[in-house]
Formats: sequence, structure tokens, C-alpha cells
Amino acid sequence: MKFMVSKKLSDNPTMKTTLLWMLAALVAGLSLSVAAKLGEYGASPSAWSAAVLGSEADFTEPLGLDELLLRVHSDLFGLIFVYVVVGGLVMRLNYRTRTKIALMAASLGSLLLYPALLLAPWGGGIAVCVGIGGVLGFHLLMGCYALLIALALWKRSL
Amino acid sequence: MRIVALAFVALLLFQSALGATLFVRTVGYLPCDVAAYYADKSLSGLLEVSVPHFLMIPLALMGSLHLLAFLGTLRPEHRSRLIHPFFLLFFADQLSPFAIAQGFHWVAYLKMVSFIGFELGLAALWWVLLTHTFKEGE
Repeated sequence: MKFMVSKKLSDNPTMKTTLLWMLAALVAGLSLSVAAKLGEYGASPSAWSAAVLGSEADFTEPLGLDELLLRVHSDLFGLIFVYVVVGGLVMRLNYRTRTKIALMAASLGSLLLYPALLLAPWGGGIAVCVGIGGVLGFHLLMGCYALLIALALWKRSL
Repeated sequence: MRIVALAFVALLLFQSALGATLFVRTVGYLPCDVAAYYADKSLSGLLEVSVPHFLMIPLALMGSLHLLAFLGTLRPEHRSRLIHPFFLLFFADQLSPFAIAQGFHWVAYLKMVSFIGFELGLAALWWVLLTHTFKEGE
């Protein structure tokens, strides 16, 4: 992809327009994804545990390992692509190298926490909170990075 | 490089054709079919479809549209003007089911126009990019 090798993206109107629209669509997509997660699991750690581990009070069954595997696998597929594209742009921001590495490490770390959800049958509520908290944190970080990149493109510093 | 570009376009074209077929088979091809289908959908059902589209289509669009930067036959300002309709149609196509589910049934017309416009626009874009690639050898 050309944005990986172009010297200054904001000087190229085609690249700038395409990337700004793509970032707007990704922010919308990440917001909808968070809405879907909150609808699926609930808005609090106790609701997440009840949704995944089941609840006698609500007569809900726990999610099996196969169901958890399917959810994590299909979610990770899209999120990895988002990470690579947004990460490629973050590394071009006009920040210190250490800052950029820290930003990318934070988002990678949060994404890698998501598979902890697979340990829910053994780890209980802690694994559920780590997994769902991790993926929600990843969405938040990617949304913030997308806004930082859009701002840099707008100010012609990328 | 040409073979990779051809494979990319062929795969995206195939994927779009599958999407169009799936749409016609599950939703229908008349605005009243579209309104009836989305009117019964729950928010979680709508999100289940729109989230993967919102995460993957912008990346595919970016992959396709950034190739416009290589088209020497178009002026830079014309190239960037071509990009806006694609994303506007994409947003209209993906967000209109939420409006239909809220009771705005007339949005089904917008859904049909944006869906068909988006698919035809992509087909035209890939045709232009491919013919240019093979003519100019870029």
C-alpha cells in the first residue's frame, strides 16, 4: 500500500482524501463494534461475567468453549487488519520513536488480552473481565489513534 | 505486480458479486422488500451485519482508491473528488438499515440506490484501474 512508502501523505490529495474517509469509516465501525459488544455482554464487569459464565438468577446458560472460540476468532480477524493499517500510520506520526512504540505496544497488549476470554471456563470472572476489558480498550485506543492521524493529516504534518 | 493487482480486483469483484447475490436472495430487490426485511430486524441483528462491513470495506476501498494516485491521466483534484461519492454511498448503504428499523421506511429507496450505486461505482473504478494498468504497464 502506497501510504507505507509515500514521503508525505498530506501532500498527495488522493492519499489524504482516501485516508481521511477511511479513518472516519473505521471510527464509525469501531463505535458500532463497541455498541455490539455492550449489547452482547452488557455494560459492567458483573454483566460480562453473567453473560459468559451464565447466571442462575437470569436462567442463562454459560457460553461453551466452542462458542467463545468462534467469537474471538471472527473478531480478531477484522481487528488485526485494523491494527496493521492504523499502526502503519501511527508509526509515521511526527512523535518520538519511543512514544510511537509505546502507543503500538499498548494497543497490541490490549488486543492480546482478548483471547483471555477463552480461559473463562477455568479462570471465571477474572478471565472474562480481562478479555472483554482488553478488547474494549483496544477499540478505544484505535479510535483515539485514528483521530490523532486524521488531525495530523488535516494539519499537513503526516 | 500486474498479476497481484488483477488477483486483488478479481477477488474483490467476486466478493461483491457474492454480496449482491446474498442481498437479493435474503432481502429482495424491491424497496418494499427491503423495508419489510429491515423493519423486523433487532439492533443486535443489524450490528452483526454492519460491524464486519464497517471494519473491512473501508480497508478494501482504501486499497482500491489509493491506486487512483497512479492514474496519470486524471488531475490530482479530480482524483480526490472521485473518492467522496464512494464513501458517501458506503455510509448511506450501511447506515440506512438502522433508519428503516426505526420506522423510516422511505429510507429503503436510499438503501437500494446507495447499494446499487456503490456496487456499480466499484465495478467502474476497477475497470478503469485495470484497463489503465494493462495499457500503461504501470
